[in-house]
Formats: sequence, C-alpha cells, structure tokens
Amino acid sequence: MPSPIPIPPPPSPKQMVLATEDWVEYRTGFPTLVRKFLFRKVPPTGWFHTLGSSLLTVFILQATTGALLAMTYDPSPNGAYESIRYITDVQTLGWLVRGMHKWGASVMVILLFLHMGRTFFYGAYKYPREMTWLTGSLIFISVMGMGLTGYLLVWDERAYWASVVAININGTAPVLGPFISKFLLGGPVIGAQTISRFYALHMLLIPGAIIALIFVHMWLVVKLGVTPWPSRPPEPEPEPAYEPQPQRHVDAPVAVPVTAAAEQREVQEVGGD
Amino acid sequence: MARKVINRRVRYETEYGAQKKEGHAFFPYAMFHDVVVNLLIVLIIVLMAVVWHATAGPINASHPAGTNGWFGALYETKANPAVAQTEPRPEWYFLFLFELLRVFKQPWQLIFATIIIPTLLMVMLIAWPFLDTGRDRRLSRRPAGVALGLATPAVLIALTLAGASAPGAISGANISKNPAINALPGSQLIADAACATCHTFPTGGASGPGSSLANGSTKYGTDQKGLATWIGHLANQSGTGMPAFDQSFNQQQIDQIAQVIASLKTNSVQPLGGS
Repeated sequence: MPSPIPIPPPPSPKQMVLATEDWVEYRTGFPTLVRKFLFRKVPPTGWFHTLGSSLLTVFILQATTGALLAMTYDPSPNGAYESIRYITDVQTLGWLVRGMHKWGASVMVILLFLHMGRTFFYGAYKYPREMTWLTGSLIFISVMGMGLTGYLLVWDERAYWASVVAININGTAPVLGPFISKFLLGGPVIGAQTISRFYALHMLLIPGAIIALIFVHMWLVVKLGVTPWPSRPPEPEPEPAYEPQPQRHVDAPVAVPVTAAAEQREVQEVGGD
Repeated sequence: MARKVINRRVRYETEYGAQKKEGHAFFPYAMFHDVVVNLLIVLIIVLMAVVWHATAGPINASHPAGTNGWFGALYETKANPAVAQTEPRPEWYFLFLFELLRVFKQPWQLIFATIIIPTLLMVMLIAWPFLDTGRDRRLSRRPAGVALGLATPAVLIALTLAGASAPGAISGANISKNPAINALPGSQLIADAACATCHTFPTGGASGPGSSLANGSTKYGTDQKGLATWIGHLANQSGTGMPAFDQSFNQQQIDQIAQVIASLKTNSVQPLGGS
C-alpha cells in the first residue's frame, strides 16, 4: 500500500551545501563579503606588496604570545623579574613564547620601516590614499609606544634606568610634558605604580588603539585597492566623457549631480568588479 | 573647484582602471605571495627565539645574568632602584633618539633632541601626503621627495649605529689619572653609579648624553655645594634626562661625589665640602 504522504528524496550533498550557505548568507551576509574580498581584482602586485600582510601576521603573533606571557607575568617591582625568569627557565616552552615576543617586536619594527619605504617609493600615499598613510603612521607611532612600554616590564637594570631617562625627557616637553610624566610614573620615582601603568598601556590601551587603526587601515586598503609600481605615465588628460554640456547657468547645480554620479561609480567598483 | 575635483577623479579612475585590467584576482594570485612571505617571517621569528635561547644558555654560577649569547643575554641584572649600576641604553629602535641626546648635549640645545626634532619627524610623517600632493607617482618626477625619502633613513641608520657604538662605563674607580683622586670614596661611588656611561672622565667614558667631566664641571667648577644640589635633584628637575641621585645615594655620598668632580677641575684633591 503506497504511503499517503510521498517522502521526498534525500537532498544531494550539493543541495545541502547550497542550503547551508543560503542559511548563513541570509543571516550574516558573510559569504558575499568573503567572496568580494577574495576575488576582487587587484593591479599587478609583487613581493613588495606582502609587507603589510606580514605586519598583520606579526601583530597577531605578538598579541598571542603576549596573552600567553600575561598568564604568568607579575607586574610588580618584586615579581616582574622573577616571573620572567620563571617563564624563561621553568615553564614548558616559556622561553619560546618569550623569545618570539621579544624578537617579534624587533622584526615588527623592521617590517614597519620596510612597509613605509615601499609605500613611499611607490608613491602609494598619493591621491586618493592619504588617509591610508595617515592611519598607517598612527599605527607606526603606536608600535613605537609598545616598544617603549614593553621595555620596562622586564624590570632589569638597563631598562629601568633607560625608562628613568625617557620619562625625565618626556617631562621637559612644554605644557603637557610634566603631566604625562606624572601620569606615567604614578609617584615620585619609578615603582609599583609605574610598572602597572606601563603594563596597562602595553597590553590594553595601545594594542586596543592599534587594533582599531588596523581595521580602518585595512578597510581603506581593500576599498581603494593596492598601488602598482609607477612605471607608466598617467593617461594623457582626457576630456571627461560626461563633461557638462554648455549650460550657461551656474556651475553648482550641474556639478553636484555629476559628483554624485562619480561617487556612485566609485562605490560600485569597491568590493571587486 | 568642483570641476577640478571631478577631473582629478576621472583621470585617476581611468589610470587605475587600466592598471586593474592588467591585474588578477586577489585570491589566489596576490595571496600566494602573502602566504609565502608571512610563513617566512614567522619562521625567522621562531629561529631567532631558538638561537637566542640556545646560545645564551642557562643562568647559573658560571653563567651569571647578562652573559651574552649570539643575540644577547636571556636576562640582564635585576633592576635595583637604590643603586644605578648600569648603562641606561634604550632598545635599538630608539638609539637614534639616544644619539640625538649625545649630539645636542649643551643644556640650551637639549630641546632639539628631546622635543623639536622628534615632534618635527612625527608631524612630517603624519602630514606627508598633504605636503607632497603632486599627482605623478614616478620617482623621476618627484626628485625632492625621493631625496628626502633616501636621506631620512640614511640619517636614522647613521644615528642608530653611532648610538649603538657609544662607549660604555669605565671599570673600577680609575676615573682620573691622579691616583689621589681615584682613592677618594666618591670615585668608587662614581663607578657604582656608572656615571661614565653618559659623561666623559679623564680616563674615558661616553661622550654624551651628559656633559664632559674630563676637566671637571664647566658649570660649577669647584663649587661643591652647587654640584651636590645638581647631582641630587636639580639636574633631574632641569630636564636634562639625568636621574635624581638623591634617590640612590644619601647626602654624605652625594657630597663625596661632588668632592671628586670638584677635584677633577684642579686635578688635585679638594677638601670635602670645599675650602
């Protein structure tokens, strides 16, 4: 006797994948986002264009090793040096985590300079990428701040007295200098307050700023696209195709819709064509 | 104005559109380069950590803290706020600023090293795209920018190398060629505080950031009270970068140091506290 309700055939694997993607797509839009990111067209790039992504990788590495170190590190004058010795000598692979964090910092600074040099000599900071350069230089300054605050956390002689000199010099800056020095020190001399302030700056405040800046920086890179080596002269100045037809009335009402059209075309090109 | 903006936009989009046509999809073409280089960088960092740890060796009686491996020691000596017994040196990427302190070491010049040049560098860095607004990206069409772009790293590297090779402390209390001065208790304190990592003494020491003490102090001469105040806290308050040594030494010890600096002026032992 036939079943009263026909049982549909089981979905094929392909159908299941499509259904899953549709589920995710409708709820999050991520598949389209990822596709647009991955398959966007970029001008000819080379090995020099890899420095930015290398910096992102090293930053993630620093954040990861830093989080691991923070699990053991003790930000106090009595505990800092001993906890670092414990990490290096006793903890399983602690030396590797600390070593990668220590040397990753130097590698990051070198990569920053190379990345900046690449951008400079390619002229990639020029129109319309001014804001990409600006956010990048803020990241650069923040990373130098990471170097300054991280140095003291080891709490050895060299770093301690170097930080004394650095804070003293900071205090000589006009207007804000003395206040910043007072804020960094947290007391008359470098001590328990200073180390916890440097620690908070080093693992919360500055990295938070860097993460936010990285998002803006990368959004701009994806939106505007990378810059190829400037080998060819720009096109001879063409008469714009949609040059407003001779209209004798004021410029502004004509210019506004044209600008809007240009904006719209720009928006359409973003995300890959 | 609006017309100019539109023309620039159209020209740029025409050029960039043509360049995009020659290109590829980001994945897998550009991403391939990224993956290769990123893996290489991670490998380099791991290798540096391994070589650093393997060559520096463990810390024990025969290998005290500060024993150098290929990439430096695992640890230096623990910080002791009571006694400055070290060379205050920054990380290598701040050595150019450190060297600037050594170049501009006269008190009135100090502001160049501490404020003016670093601020100028940062402002130039951030504002550069708004200063160099020429449209042509080719190197041949922007010689001034390229010259600046080559000169800046050259100067930074030169300053860094000079800062890295700054002479360190003198070992022991042999700060003077006069044994009678070296025998003073203050000479041992000067050695303990590693004054020679920043100041020149008759037998050596660093040529900065601090002023030369090879012939004593030009500012205070044999004025031991003035010297003691300066060393104790005045130098620190005057924004020279010099630490306040009244945190590390008691008043008697600071007076003994002042006696030695005053004695260096005349190259003969001055009585403690001055005549």
